[in-house]
Amino acid sequence: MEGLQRPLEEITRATVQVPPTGVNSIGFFGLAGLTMPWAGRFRMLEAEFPPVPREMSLAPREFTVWEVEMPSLPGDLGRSGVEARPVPAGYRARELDWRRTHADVLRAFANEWVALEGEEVVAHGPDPVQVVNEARARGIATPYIFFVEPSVEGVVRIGL
Amino acid sequence: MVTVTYRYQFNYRQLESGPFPLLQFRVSNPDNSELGLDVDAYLDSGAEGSIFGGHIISALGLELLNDRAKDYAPTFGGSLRGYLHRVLLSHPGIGNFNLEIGFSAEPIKRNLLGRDFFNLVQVGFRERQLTYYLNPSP
Repeated sequence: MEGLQRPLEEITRATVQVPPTGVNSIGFFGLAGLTMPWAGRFRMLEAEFPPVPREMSLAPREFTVWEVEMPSLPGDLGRSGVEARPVPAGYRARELDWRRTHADVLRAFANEWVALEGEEVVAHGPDPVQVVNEARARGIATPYIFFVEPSVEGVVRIGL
Repeated sequence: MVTVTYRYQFNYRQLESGPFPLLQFRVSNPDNSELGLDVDAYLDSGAEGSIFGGHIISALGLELLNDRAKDYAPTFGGSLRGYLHRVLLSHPGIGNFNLEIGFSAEPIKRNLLGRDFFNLVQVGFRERQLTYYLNPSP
């Protein structure tokens, strides 16, 4: 029916294009889009955001943050950061995602060094130098190596 | 009021022992980029200097022990001897950092990025959101 489905204004369209991020997924941008009258302008209206599957919502990701101008809003709310274009998570995003979803598997390697390639533990042990050498012997020129800290209830971890 | 506009947003990494603010870098020898190692480095704004595990230097084909060393004092007990080496830290998103880092001869579980790294970037933490922001310039 004519009139019921009108085009979204540009400002609203930008709001609904932001992908979920898992933690605080709506953020200021989405919250403001739901609750605030918009009189400002975004610099990111041309951006396109790929849809992010919900099951990946806690996956480590990075986003470029763009400046937003909202002169109609009071004080510091007039300028804020908004998540936008994703950038690479690192050289080992796949491995980090695997670590997030397979903590139970890695528990068997607690207090050891692990070399992870894709979704495979290629070497592990108490000596990181040996773990690197074993990974390289398997043809991995630049191994990803980390120490598996035990998950202990009630322990507060500090830097050193 | 100072307003900082950040280019990059990072979620804390969910590791086996919980969420942590860390960056994943490829560490390589500036004189021989063929040899590298991918490591996680924890952002530690309370540390005056960065300290990494000495095994990384071995993996880069370098000799850990040299005559340029500093003592790194933790919040308890004695101190760690860190041997200074200039290395290249690479991240596919935020770029490269040429940094002189202390590498410990003692085994340490975590690589810490301290204020010498923070001197090269701008970082803003939002702990409640388990998020931090970063600009790759001071």
